[in-house]
Amino acid sequence: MDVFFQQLINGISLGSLYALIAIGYTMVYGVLRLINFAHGDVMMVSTYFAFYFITGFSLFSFVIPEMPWYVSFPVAIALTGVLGFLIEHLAYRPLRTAPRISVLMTAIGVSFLLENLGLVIFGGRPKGFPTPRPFEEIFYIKDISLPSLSLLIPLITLIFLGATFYLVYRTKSGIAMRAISRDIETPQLMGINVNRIISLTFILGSVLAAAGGIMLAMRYPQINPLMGIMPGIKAFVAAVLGGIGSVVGAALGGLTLGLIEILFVAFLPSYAGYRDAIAFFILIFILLFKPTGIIGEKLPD
Amino acid sequence: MKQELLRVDNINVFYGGIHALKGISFVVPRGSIVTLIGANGAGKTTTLRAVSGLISPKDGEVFFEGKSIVGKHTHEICKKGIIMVPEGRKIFSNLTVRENLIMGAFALNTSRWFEENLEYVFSLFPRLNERFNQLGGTLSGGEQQMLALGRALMGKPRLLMLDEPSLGLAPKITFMLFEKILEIHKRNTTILIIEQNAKAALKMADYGYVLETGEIILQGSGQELFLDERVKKAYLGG
Repeated sequence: MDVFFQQLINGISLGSLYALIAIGYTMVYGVLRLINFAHGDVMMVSTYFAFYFITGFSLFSFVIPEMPWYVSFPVAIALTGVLGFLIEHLAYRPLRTAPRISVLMTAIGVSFLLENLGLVIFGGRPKGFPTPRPFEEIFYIKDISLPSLSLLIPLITLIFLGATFYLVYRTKSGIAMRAISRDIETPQLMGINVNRIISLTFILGSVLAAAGGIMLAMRYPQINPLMGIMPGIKAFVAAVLGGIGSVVGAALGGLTLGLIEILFVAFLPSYAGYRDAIAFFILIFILLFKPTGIIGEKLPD
Repeated sequence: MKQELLRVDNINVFYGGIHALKGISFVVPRGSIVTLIGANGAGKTTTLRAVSGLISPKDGEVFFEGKSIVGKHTHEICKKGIIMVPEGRKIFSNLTVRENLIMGAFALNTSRWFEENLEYVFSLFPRLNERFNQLGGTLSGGEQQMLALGRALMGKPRLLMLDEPSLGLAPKITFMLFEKILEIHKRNTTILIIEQNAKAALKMADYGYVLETGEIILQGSGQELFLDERVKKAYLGG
């Protein structure tokens, strides 16, 4: 029972991370009908931002001192938002009227670009991520030992999800995002600057990926330039599992995937090597039997 | 002569190699109802799309209140007060009636206008008040058209452009809709309307233009066109 409880917390904690990253996929898909394959790599870059701010670095002749985590993390998250904005602006916007396949190829190109720039700039050798003290403590509830990170991750995720839901469902810009997801032309007739809303979507998606990425880095705690690939794919699966295009679905899908993955490893340890295969198995299963996902809506033709 | 609100001056539009609008010119005077009639593919919708900036003409000019608006973004043109209700209504089926109306008022910054416009829209279409929290996609065709009109009114149009508002609606509902359009017109809104139901359109229009394969072949007051033999034969069913 105790083991189960502990694994449950672990699963929720991993699932929260998938959820945060999956929302970026689903929102970008919503407004542009684009699977942004670079999303996982944006997440990777965010962890390096956080790493360099925490450890300090020198850029040209400027020396940036070490900064405490409560400064580094928000700055890294904000910078990742800027990165998302720039990617959309430079890579995807010029292709707004191009065939969808061209944009998809570009997304793969951006993904490779970020990975290889990462190898060149950050170096291929994995770096240990300096997990700040408050995330490292260990709690004991009776016999169960729980790292504070496993409890903090769902909590922080909840805060980000709450803010996202508020933005998407309660604000004018959020309503416009949902309007654009069905029809990109008509909102313009209402005076909505569609490009601005799309930028906002990318910024928000990247910010969530950064929050997820930094927590993932602390969980590991190691970062490397290719670390975005697998979580990126899994978050994509989570988005499909929940029903691509649905923000609530992405959150549910992420949580479900995380739980399944952790419980699988916990209870079938001899098959633990297949851990990463589960996501793909679920993807195939979903595409075969329920392509619209858990709460996916049917798209009008 | 009434002051002109919109002047379209010799615009040419191409779709790929197809010359869709061949030097169209017309005027919409302030406070009037102007209609464009013509067969399918004559270029009526293309004309409205060119005015609203969804497509840009190859050459020619469009003036709104004396200022050129050619080449501006659609959302900027909308903010100047030209609001189009597109063909097929295009309401947001995944948003509630309330959210659809909020989108209509997107460009307005104050919530005071929002409340005021909302009251106006509800007075015209009480049904929208009843369906306020329902998803747009669950409304009937007539209700969707009311929502499309209401949504456009939320943006305080100075020029309201309607593209086939009666499309797919029962005659009774179409009749009600035209009554409402006249009511909107009385509240000082200039209207440019495209209709397949040429009879109804000409009846309420001050002035009309007849389009054929991208050209204006005939123009006159609504009454004149209504009685014109050629118009009768081609568009009024005998």
